[in-house]
Amino acid sequence: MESDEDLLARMVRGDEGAFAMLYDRFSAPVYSLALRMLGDRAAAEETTQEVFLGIWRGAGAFDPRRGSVRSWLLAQAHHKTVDALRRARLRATDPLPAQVAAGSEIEAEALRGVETGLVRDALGGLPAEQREAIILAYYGGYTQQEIAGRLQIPLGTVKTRIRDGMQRLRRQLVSEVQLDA
Amino acid sequence: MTHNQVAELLPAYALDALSPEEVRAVEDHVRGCQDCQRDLAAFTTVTAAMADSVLMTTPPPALRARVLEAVRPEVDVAVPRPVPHRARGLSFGWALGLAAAAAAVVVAVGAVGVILNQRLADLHTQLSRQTEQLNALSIRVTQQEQLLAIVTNPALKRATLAGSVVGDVQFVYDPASRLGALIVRNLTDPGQGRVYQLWLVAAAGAPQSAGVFRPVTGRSLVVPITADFTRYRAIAISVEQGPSGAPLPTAPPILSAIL
Repeated sequence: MESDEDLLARMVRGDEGAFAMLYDRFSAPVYSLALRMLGDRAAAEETTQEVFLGIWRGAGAFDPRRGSVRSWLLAQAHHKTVDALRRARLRATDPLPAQVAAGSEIEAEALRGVETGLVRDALGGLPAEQREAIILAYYGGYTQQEIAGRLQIPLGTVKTRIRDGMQRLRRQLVSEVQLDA
Repeated sequence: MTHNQVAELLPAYALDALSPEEVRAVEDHVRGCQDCQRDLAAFTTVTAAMADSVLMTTPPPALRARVLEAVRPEVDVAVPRPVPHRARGLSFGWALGLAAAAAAVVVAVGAVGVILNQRLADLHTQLSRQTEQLNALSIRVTQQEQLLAIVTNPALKRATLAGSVVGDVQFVYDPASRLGALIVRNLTDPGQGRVYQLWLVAAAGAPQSAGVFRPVTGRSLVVPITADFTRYRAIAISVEQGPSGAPLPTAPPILSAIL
């Protein structure tokens, strides 16, 4: 099977067949993440299309020193989904007051969608306050500043929780072998 | 921002949880810092695993069609394949064809700007580079705007081909730079195993093949041609045997224009 890197190289030369293959490899995770975060099929489809058109135009910007094609593509997917989420929140006529939704509710809601054992276990192994901050950031699409406001805790505390939690996840989920591959 | 300050922000950067100002500061630093690139690769692997761990849902097939359609350029570019054989005799039909060509509309307006020349030259450079890379007969160029600028600019010489078939076929060329392109719209398929072959016709001597092409129904096609156009009086198209055409036309031209 052709590597993801080879497909990207072909895409840089305008090869639509390579693009179709890349779409078939990654459309399900990209769409599923968008659907999970946006909770709306039409919005998830729109974001998925935006992600792949961005990949088509930006294939030449991929830098293997910064990780695999898979990581790069899913990072773009998350980034564009967060943008869509923030735009939707700005448009919302009746935004949820920051104080009303308690962190634990959002966290429970966020974790409901996390199915895969490995990541679920790794998240479950974190201290509750680190898990909460990371889930609000990643699946909830909130900035550290917004999380501090929601949880009514100092920004510095949020930063520490996210940093420490991510370091632990890194040790558990990322082996150096995986990175070199 | 110092290295240590940026390094502390990398986990939140990977989560897309930074302010726009922090994002800019991180990206400025990471571009030139190998340690941070390595750390960021690790944190991005973590977030990719988080993305992968949500409940998988197959996107609708209609989305696939929409996404793939969105990257298809509306204009095809075919690189004409040279026909290596020597010319010998001419069939009678070609005299008739050239009479029809005399009736074709010819428009030639003004001098060709330096910028346009450059764009056309760029297009040809780009095409030959891509041809080397792909080693394929037909390729597509994504810079449609560039092509359209060439096609629509009135400074280029332009000839509309006319004849026995319906089709919107124009030839634009610049005698000074020897660059030209055939613009094919709404030309029907030449038939199973057949190709359209393009000929440059001089006042005397046999027509010279400028390559073969096959349009895709419903799609526009651009066939770039390089030649000393001042040597030729007409351009003509005949239907020939595929895939590489004939050394000399074997059938009367179906479309032609006086240059």
